[in-house]
Amino acid sequence: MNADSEVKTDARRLRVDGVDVDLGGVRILRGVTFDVRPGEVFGIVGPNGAGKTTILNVIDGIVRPSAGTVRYGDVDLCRVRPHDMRKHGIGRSLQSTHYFRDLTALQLVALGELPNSIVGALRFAGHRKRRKAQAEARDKGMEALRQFGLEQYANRPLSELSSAVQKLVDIARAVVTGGELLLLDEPTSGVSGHERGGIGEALRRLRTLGRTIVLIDHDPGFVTGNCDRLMAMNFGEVLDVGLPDEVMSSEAVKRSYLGESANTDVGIERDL
Amino acid sequence: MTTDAIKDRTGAGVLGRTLGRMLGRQGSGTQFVMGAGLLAAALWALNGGPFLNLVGQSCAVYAVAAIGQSVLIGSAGQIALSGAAFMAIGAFVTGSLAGTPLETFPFPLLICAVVGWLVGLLSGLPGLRFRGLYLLLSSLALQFMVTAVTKNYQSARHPAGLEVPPLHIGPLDVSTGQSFYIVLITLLATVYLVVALVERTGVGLAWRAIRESEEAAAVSGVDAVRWKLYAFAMSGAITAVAGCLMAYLVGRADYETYNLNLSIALITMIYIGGIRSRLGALTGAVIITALPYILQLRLPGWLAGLGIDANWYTENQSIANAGLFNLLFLLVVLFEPEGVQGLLGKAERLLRRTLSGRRTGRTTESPA
Amino acid sequence: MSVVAQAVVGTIVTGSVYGLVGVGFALLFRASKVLSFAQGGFMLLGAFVFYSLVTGGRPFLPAVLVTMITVAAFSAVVYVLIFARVAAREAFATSVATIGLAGVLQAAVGIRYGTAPLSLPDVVSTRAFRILGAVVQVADIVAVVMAVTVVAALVLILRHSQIGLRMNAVADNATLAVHLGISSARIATVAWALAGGTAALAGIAFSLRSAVDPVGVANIGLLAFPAIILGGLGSVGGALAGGLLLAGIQNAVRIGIGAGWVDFVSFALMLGFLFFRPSGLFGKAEVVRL
Repeated sequence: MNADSEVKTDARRLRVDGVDVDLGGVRILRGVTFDVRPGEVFGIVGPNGAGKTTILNVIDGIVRPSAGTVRYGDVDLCRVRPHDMRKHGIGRSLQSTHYFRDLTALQLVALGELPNSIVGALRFAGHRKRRKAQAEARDKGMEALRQFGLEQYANRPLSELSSAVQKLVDIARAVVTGGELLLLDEPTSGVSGHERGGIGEALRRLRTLGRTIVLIDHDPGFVTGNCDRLMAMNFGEVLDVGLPDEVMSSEAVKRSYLGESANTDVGIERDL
Repeated sequence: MTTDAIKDRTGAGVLGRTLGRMLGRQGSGTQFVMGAGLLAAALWALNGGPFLNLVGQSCAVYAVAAIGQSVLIGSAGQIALSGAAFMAIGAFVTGSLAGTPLETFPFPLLICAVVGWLVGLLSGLPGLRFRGLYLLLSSLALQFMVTAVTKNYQSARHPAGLEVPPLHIGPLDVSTGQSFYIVLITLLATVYLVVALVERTGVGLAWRAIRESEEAAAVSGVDAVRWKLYAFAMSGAITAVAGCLMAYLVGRADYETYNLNLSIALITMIYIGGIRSRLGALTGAVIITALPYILQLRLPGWLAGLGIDANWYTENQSIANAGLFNLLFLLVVLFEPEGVQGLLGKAERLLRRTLSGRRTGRTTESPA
Repeated sequence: MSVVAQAVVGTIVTGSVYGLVGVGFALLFRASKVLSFAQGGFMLLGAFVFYSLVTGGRPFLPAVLVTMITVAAFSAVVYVLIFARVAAREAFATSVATIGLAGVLQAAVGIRYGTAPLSLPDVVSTRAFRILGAVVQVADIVAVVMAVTVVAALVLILRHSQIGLRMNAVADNATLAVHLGISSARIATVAWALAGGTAALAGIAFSLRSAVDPVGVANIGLLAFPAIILGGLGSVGGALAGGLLLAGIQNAVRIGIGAGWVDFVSFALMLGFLFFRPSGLFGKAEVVRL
């Protein structure tokens, strides 16, 4: 937002190059290569089990690729541990927030502000210091919530909020923990049609702020309407990358989407 | 309206409002009831004569151990079957310090804490590779390995167990009765407060996040690996301290005390009391420790009153109790994982709903 | 020579018992991702039901069959009554709860039969052979034959029968199996019954050679954990192989270092495998993140 981060944003490009992922003897990703330009909204579409979430997991350090590289600017992301991603300006929203249903919106948003070392925790232990640190974390969290117009939910447990609001809170958390590059994992899943508008609006605002966004979603309309470029996948391989309309009208993608409608009927479980 | 405002300015009004705010939250009533009950029980045991003192002493020792387990299992969500192993480590460290210059009181306790911390840290390493069932199995392995080592050490050097000298603080003999009880309760309170403080620094929230989902926690910027290891270490330290106190309580360290059944008993405590809080761990420890005494004193009478021959119970008391605890554990884990606290919480919710329902009912009736 | 030969015989017999218990673990794990701590309890139940039948004058084979069926039915009933509703939702909670079940079974047997070791009357022939300097009793042969038969039968069932194929489907992808119309609850019930039955057989095999007491037998159930981790969790054939291997290592430790270190080495070995080769020697290399 300030001049400094603008410069950084310009310099950073996400490059995923030749990534293979093997889990349990099954190749989940095969030679996945793409890059995301700074400030771009990059969508990934494909049927269930295509490997979309795995790509985010690879970028985010949760899954280590068996081959290939992931670089963000000049940082090799394969060497960065998941919780350190925020130091490199990367934030990730979750496909499901049900893990944290007991936390309040503010607690969730401020999770990344917790001390991550004994020394840090000790600094928190003093009464005044703790108050100060907690106040800072709270301010930062509140500001993020305010950005999305969520401040009235700050002290309510997530379980009491609608799924659309939960998703927005989680996006706010991703913005706080990361910043420049946001990985959004199915922001509209479990959100009813008329509530999706709010999420689309949040996305557009983030884009005008110059954030780079990698977006996975199931709703083809939502993706085509909100992305600069699209990548279509199936069976762990890239089918096509390009402008949304081009990709969605390509034959291979149409075929894989037909496959998806059959798949969604049986509703195979997704991971993370 | 105006009378309310005036009333609020009086001291009673302020107190009432503070109390009201404290008790306003769902769950606070449960905590209040549990805390008050424990406090009353502790005071009763203090003044109840030698027998109650003794029961109180066991309760306090097991309560420390239960807090140690609840840090790991309750707060950080890492299940482990090695509680007794850590108690054994504490007891044997204390036993081997006897006769050395380090046997003076706070030293054994501190050394136990350090050793427990280190072994705990080690026991957490498998947790970096895997979780869930495999972690449970690795803690089972630790339990058996510690039992084997202590057993071999004991049979080679001290066949009757390692003797632990009576507890002295400075020149004071505090090894029995009320004074020992007071020492134990003080230590319990200290451990309780230390854990409460630690969890308040944000570590508690980090553990909670890890408990729910490690990936989600890591994605949110929590160093899951580090805090998980610290949960193991801290739990190890506290449980080893409990082992040290146990050694003072029975005056000896014997490997047979610290078997898998004790590990299971410790887990039962925290599940029965309420897995989600330290207060629950305390409650569970008191229930599981005191219940055998109560059953021993009262059950034959009750059964006789029902016309049932109680011989089978008195003859197999320890097995019967073990069976009963295991049954309780089974039922609680499957059907009421929040234990006593969960049940009280449900009762509280019901009460609140009834009360607030009545209140809103009244306001709608009265003309505005 | 005769010491070694005797140790080899002991290994094969003890290994068969571990294998029989382990097979049940593997089945349950495949069918429902539940790791049962109650196998030792069912083994115990089997040993004592068999003891009652035999001391009551029943002949050997009918007693074995009745014991197996009784314990298998009991195991299935326990699953249906207590675990079924929770198991589908929470494999982990069910696994933890089986610790309690093991304790309940142990206590029940302890109250009914006492905790002192009981020896069976000679139910099979007391004849013994001398093979390569080792004394082999008929009971030993019976125990090994039982183990090999059961494991072979189970492997065949899993490979070729309808229920076995369904069990494999559930093991490979539980969610997908549900959508293919396989009732995972029914599969799990069958698995619990089979696990109970094989554990009962293990109890019988054990009681043919040694005096049985509740604590000792339950411990065999726990010692089967290193065996199944060695063999590969979820692999039925691997359970028997792991059992034999573990028994061999235990005998080597007993002779080489001392009996006091048997448990230590067994569990240290298990820890090592968990760390470096969690799929065991014969298990499928799958991601072990439970």
